[in-house]
Amino acid sequence: MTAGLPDAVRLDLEELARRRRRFVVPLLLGALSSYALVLLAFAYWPGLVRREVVGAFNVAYLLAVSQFVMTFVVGLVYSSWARRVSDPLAARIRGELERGDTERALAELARRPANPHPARRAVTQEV
Amino acid sequence: MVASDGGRTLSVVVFFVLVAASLAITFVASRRAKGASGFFVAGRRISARQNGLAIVGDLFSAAAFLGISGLVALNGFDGVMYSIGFLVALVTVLLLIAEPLRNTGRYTMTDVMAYRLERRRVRAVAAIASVVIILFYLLAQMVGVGVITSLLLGIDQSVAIALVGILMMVYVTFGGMVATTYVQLFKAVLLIGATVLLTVLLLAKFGFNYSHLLDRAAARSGKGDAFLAPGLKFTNHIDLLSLGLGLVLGTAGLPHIMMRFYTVPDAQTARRSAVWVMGIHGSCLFLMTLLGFGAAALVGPELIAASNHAGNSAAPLLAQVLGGGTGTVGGQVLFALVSAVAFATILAVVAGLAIGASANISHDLYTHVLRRGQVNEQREVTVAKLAALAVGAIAIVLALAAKSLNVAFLVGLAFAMAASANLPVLVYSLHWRRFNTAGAVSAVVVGLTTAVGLAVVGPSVIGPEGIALHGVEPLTTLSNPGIISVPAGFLAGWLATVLTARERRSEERFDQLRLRALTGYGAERTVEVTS
Repeated sequence: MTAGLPDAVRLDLEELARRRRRFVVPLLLGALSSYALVLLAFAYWPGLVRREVVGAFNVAYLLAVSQFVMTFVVGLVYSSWARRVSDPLAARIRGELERGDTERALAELARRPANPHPARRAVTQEV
Repeated sequence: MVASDGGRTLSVVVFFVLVAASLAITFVASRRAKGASGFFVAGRRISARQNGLAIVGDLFSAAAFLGISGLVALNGFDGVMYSIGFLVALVTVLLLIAEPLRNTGRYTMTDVMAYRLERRRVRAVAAIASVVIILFYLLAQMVGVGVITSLLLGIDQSVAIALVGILMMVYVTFGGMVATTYVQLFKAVLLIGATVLLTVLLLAKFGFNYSHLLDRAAARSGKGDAFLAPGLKFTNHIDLLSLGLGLVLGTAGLPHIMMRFYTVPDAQTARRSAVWVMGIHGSCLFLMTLLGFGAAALVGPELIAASNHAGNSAAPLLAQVLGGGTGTVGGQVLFALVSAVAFATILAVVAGLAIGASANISHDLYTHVLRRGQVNEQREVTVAKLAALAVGAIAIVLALAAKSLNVAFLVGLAFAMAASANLPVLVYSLHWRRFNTAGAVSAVVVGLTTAVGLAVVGPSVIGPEGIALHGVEPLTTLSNPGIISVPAGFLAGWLATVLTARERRSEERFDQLRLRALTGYGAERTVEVTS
């Protein structure tokens, strides 16, 4: 699906896309389902969420706090992963692309298919 | 009457000082807002922390600052719901939107969709939807400002609405995104300062024992332990889930918030600013609920509801008590401070909304749809300024006409519209190769009309509790359309795509879009300032 790109770039790009998918999708689904579960608990398990745990703090309050903690943790985990894994890969691909021969290959790729503006280089063209 | 006359005089003085300061900021910033990139996205030179603060500023509308503490003070735990929804929404923004948006667009969210789909059709539809969403949000703020200023500053509601509209036009037309961002930073710092100060004073009253505070709030509310559990406000479970869905997915579709990710140098900075937003916004949202419980404990729900039935004056009234009570100097100073911060909050949010709408109108509708991209930068900026004036004027007129609409309802609706019309197209454009123009147009049209349509036949607009046709039963009991309109938008986008022919160009451009989104190759660069 990225035919026309040099092999090194294509492989790195597929690798980056796969790693992102494998890391980001579970993280996102996990976070959103925990939010959904908390809402469902508020709506449908009033007996459970009213139970006091420590002092005046009941289950509902702790569930609310858990969402704050969850969000902060997702933010930190994701940004540390991105710094370690995806940023270096992206930088490497950018480096490969910005070498002259690849620029030409890309322009070629952009021009070949049914492009309404064959004179322009679609990849760097303004949107 | 909320405050003594002395308190009001002081509030008005502080308020004028704030307005003068924000105008000074605009004047200084105006010299840096050169060219289209300077005007729309501050030359892409904003730092991660500044952008984080500015987004917090944009997100902390009247509904968040006065609304959440008020809802908690009156309804107890159910008010906390809004806090959670606003916060968890940032997960979607960080994981799915912030970086690819910065990597592939220029000034507006619509840029990303137009990159691979049939540009003019998609731009026209998506930009109109964005402007409609912004107008609803703007209307909510303007109605809110009328209520709040008359309550806190003793200024007439209509005068306050006109004043805010005019100030907003001044910020945007003279200072563009640079001024709007600095006004936003100024307000965010004030807001955080005021929130932290009130929290410390509040907790000190309870020997820094939060549990003790909650007990007192429950006792004073007259509802006992039920005050600390869900169910007092949202008795309809589906409504609770619907609102929750709209809140958690809406933020990622709000055009004026997403536009802020273009003001930073690169995707890494966009990501870091999103993490800053989580930290700052999350802490403030949490403290806001704490202040709400504090107001319930120290001021009491009856007094709060008596001054404003929606609870909007909970935070200022709490400030007055914490400063020493009515008639004391401390009470007046704190009351004035919180009132002025509330006003600055709305002013900054309104300016951010106006620049978002003006970018949609000028960059999308005028430059790309009407003139097919054949417009020079200066012209694009001029049209944007005219658009900001028009948006300001429309907002003033609408707000004067709709003063009685419920602010929380309007904000909830704007979020639901953003989640139903904008988010599906944005997510599909960035992540689905097969997606085509028919899908995009259908998602926007179906998402938007379902959201607005359900709201119009719902209990907030018609029926005994609505604003019209009091004798008629509302056609739906849902007060927030999210639970139907969000899936409708996503479904329409998917269905229209698979039912229509594959679009070769869209799929080929998707490969390029993905390459750019993932790596930042060819992304818009920072613009140097020459002054």
